Amino acid sequence: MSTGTDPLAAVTPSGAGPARASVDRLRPSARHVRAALRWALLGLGLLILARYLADAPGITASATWGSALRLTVPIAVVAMGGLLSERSGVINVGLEGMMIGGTWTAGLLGAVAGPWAALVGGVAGGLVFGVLMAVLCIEMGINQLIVGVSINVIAAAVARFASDIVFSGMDGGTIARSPRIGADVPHLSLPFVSGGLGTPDLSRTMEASELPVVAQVGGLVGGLTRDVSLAAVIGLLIIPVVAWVLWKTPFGLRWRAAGEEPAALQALGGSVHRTRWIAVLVGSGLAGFAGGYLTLISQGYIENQTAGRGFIGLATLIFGNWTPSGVFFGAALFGVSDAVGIGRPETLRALVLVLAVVFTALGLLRLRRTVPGRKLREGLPPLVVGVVLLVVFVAVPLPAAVSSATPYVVTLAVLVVAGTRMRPPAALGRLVPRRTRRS
Amino acid sequence: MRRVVVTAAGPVVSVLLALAVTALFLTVGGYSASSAFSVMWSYGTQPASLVASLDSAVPLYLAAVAGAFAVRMGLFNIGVDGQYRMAALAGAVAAASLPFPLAVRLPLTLLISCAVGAGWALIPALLKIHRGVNEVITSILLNAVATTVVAVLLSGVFRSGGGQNTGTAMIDAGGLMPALPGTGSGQGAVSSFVVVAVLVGVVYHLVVDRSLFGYGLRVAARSPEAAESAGIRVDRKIVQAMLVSGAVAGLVGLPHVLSVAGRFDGTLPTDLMFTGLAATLLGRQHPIGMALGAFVLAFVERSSQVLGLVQLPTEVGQVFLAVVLLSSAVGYWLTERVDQRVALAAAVRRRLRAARTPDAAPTGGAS
Repeated sequence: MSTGTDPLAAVTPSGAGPARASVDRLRPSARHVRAALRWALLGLGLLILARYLADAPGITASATWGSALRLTVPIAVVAMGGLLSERSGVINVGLEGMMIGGTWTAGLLGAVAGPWAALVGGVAGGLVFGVLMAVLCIEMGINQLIVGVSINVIAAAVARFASDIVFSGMDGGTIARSPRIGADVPHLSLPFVSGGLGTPDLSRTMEASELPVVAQVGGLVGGLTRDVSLAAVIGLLIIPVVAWVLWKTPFGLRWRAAGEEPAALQALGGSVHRTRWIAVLVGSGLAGFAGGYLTLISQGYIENQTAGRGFIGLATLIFGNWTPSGVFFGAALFGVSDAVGIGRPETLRALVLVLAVVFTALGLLRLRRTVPGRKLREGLPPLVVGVVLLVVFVAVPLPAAVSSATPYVVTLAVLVVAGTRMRPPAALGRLVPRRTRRS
Repeated sequence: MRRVVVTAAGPVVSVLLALAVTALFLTVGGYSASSAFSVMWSYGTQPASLVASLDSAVPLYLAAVAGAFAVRMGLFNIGVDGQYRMAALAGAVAAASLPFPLAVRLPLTLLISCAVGAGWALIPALLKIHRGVNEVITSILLNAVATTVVAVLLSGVFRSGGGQNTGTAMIDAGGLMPALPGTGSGQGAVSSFVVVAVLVGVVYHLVVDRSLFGYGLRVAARSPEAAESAGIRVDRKIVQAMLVSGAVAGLVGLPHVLSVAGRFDGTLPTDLMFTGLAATLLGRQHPIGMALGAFVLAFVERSSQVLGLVQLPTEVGQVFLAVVLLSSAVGYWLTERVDQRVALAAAVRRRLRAARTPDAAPTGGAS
């Protein structure tokens, strides 16, 4: 199970990068494994420290990490959908719209034929807009930003219009929501660790023991492995699969070529159009799947339930520098801080402390590094952000109303610190003629 | 002559396409499209509706111009949303609390709103040039942050009165935007924001198409390398374009605050950015084109309100708005295709004629 193998991949900004990057290389070297382990332990230690310094049991509670996982999955999946199409050179601003399409059809099929049909319906709903996007962007060559923005608006309007016609007439449905699905795909727990298959629940015992370190480890592991929806597992498995296809298969090569240098792909006899069609369609299907996942969680289509997650997915995609591992890291960061923001104020304080320590340490490290000229430029921003966060932790009481902005502010802060080195696919948004004419 | 026809044909084809698609949706949904459209048309063309459309077209136009400034610099200012909400709150507070007569207070209010909008837009611009972070992602994040900031400021600092009251203090007559002189008062009056919008449009035209600044902007957008080697600082242009775009975006929320609600509260529309973006696209960033686009969108929004009274879904208006956004692109694509075909045929014909009379020089391809 992918969530259980590396439960700390989402702990801290510095902790997840190396751990997930090993997906790209199929055989991680011993050095990488050691680095991942080191960072993971460091992150765990920091969390435990923050739990006691801020007196916030929430930061290591299994409830927090369970909801972090649930919040991560849709964003990671929708961002992977965007990655598919953008790596092939088609800008996809329409992720939100595809997601809305997914939630709607998932609500319809789910109410009629059960939870698995809801997931399939989500994919289908995303595909509808994927076909629209492919025809307009690839075949007709219309500005991809315009098409994406329009798809967002159209999906929202059509979903409402169609709900009025379809759901209003159904039992238990209104213009703003579909009838309840009333069933869910199976939920899994890890045997022996978190009580799967009727075995004793070790992590729950650990969490209930209230011993330092033991209870926190139990909470983390339990939250990430107990009662995980099969849909979430599928969603998380998509990430390594996409990474494998992208880096290790012939299609992946064509796919990257279509986004970086379409002329080269054409010269070698590949079809840019075909590659882009496949990428956009599969990508929209993934975005729709993310919508279907949301529908399953809320047990029905609810108007506006995507709440801008498609845009966050887009941000995550850019944040992750168009790589699967980066996307996962970004989505996890967002999911964790979202889950923390929902919780109690002291949990938020604990998160502030964790980030403050990480940023300050990073800034000091960069300042000490002996690369002339770039020291200040690289080191100062993290140091400043870290010190500001420390001051916030010590001195400023955080009102509960601020917490809804947590994931956005955290992502912004990490962006400011990470900065630069973003490189979009070279041919992103560039059109190519179907055939290279020589006359 | 053909250029004029082509320019005019684009929007017309777009709107017709959108009508056709909307009619399709209505028919599939089991409604009569023709009756819906005729009801909408007769309601929308009443004088009161036209005035209302004009008034609600103003913020759309401002949002469109704000977007167009950024588009001209090759930026995608998706942060208009957060910028106008922050600026509207600041404007509402300023208009309610400044102790000056109208002639001073109103310009000051507008200026403060512009400054707040520009300031909020400055964050993504600075992050882009100093930390290399894409402006789309920071703007999206900042929109969400603005929602929280506005909510916290509104509930914690600027709320007036207690209980269920969730708005800033009411603005007295000395701070509200007066109606346009000569248009009466009350429901039928046109807000003077129309004048503001016209001014903004003129300034947009002059700055982008007729000034050195606008020229530098367009060069920097089309080819950053060429701009740098010609002495145009691209970094600086990015900041300037975002500042101007944000300043115009700061005005977007004011018509609602100063002419409709009289304060900042929950009734401020939240979809102004995307509808404004639709006007940008519909009008192809042309100052007059965007004005027409904004009016068409406002007209549809207004006239679709009547559909609820005759047992038709009012969502038709939203569907039309959404479809018109896409069909504007498709419509231009179609007319350009047709135009190219016509131009090609004309050029071929001229060539043939020139071949028959060898002394006449070929005149080359048509534009």
